[in-house]
Amino acid sequence: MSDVSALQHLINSLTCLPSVGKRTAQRMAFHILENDRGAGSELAVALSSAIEKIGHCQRCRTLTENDYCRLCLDKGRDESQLCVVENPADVLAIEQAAHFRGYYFVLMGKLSPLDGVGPEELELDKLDAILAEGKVTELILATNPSIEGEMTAHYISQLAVKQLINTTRIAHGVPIGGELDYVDKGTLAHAFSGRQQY
Amino acid sequence: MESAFILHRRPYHEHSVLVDLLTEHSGRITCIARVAKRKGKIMRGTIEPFRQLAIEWFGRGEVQTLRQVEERRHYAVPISQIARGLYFGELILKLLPKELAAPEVFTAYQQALFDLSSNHQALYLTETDLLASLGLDFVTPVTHKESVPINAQYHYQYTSDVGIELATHTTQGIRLSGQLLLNLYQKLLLDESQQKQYRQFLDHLINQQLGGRPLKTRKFAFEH
Repeated sequence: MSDVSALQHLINSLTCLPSVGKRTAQRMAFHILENDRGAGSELAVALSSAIEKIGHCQRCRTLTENDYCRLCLDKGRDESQLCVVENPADVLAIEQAAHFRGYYFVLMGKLSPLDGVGPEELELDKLDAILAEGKVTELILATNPSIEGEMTAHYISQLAVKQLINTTRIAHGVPIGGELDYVDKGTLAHAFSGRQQY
Repeated sequence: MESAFILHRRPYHEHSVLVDLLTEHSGRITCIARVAKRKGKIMRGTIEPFRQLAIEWFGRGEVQTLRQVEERRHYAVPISQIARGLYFGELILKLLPKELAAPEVFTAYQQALFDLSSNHQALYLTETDLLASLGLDFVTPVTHKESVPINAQYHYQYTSDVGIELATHTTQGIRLSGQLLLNLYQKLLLDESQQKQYRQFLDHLINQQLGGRPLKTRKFAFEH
């Protein structure tokens, strides 16, 4: 009976992963137990170790095993530019796609008053402290172009204004290779209002 | 299809969102929408506040399912006014019971979004109209019970039982000056001190209606 309950516990636990429903979780559980118990043990150790060791960077709040993340410790980066993003995945995306050499601040979310997420939850006092150091001359707001993302960007820009720091916002609009017909009205309106000299 | 606005939405599992909507004829409803990034299904970017949508939904009970969503109009609410827009939405979420047909609330919210997107200078008047559509109608040229004309020199009080009446020393309701009431009735711009007095009145009134439950967006709308 306890075996059945352990299996069920494993299946239920696996459903916490994105894109994994009950059926996929069942397949994963049976695969580990029938074919690859070694890999299963490794997975368990890796998970447990990651959860135990990985915390937040004391400066930019991204995920790291140490007090400070690799990017914050990189002295070769441009300390006059600070880019604010919502999640650690956004840092990775910008690092891979853009030639940005400044530092980051990861909000780990966005302001959403209706959901009880305010400046305290995003630890914006830490961001304020970085801005107060006087090294940043350009604050790049790279929050997502959702209503809450825009509100967050606006709130942070007010912090920057108080410190007399120039604030820029990443451009939003029609994706490269996209078709106007497939773009929603809000994005198209935004792209149109932000048109540039050709 | 029916016209609707999104008041609030939050993620629900990986590919769905739980959405609170204000519909034109069916009142406030809650639906689950399965969203996608490409065309063909309900697009994630469409499920955002401040857009007038045409929707189709099905199901019974507390939470129904959105079948189709088309965007009809996008209100370009300035970034500095987003919090105020969310505050207006929360007023509806908290003061309008679910599934109670309220086309007047729909019209007032539509006007509120228009006012926000056109940089209206007197959003307290917009809020006044929205509250009136939600049943908090206190702007009057005469007292509600006795029908005595409002006197600019006197003070009045509002209670949900009687409405606007002359304030007394032992008044329990929320006080408002006669001059302020008359200015509101004539939709005149309020000076700074009147605006402050009116904000206190509105906050007190809304707080009383909500039985002390806080409005989560209030701080963002008026203090940041």
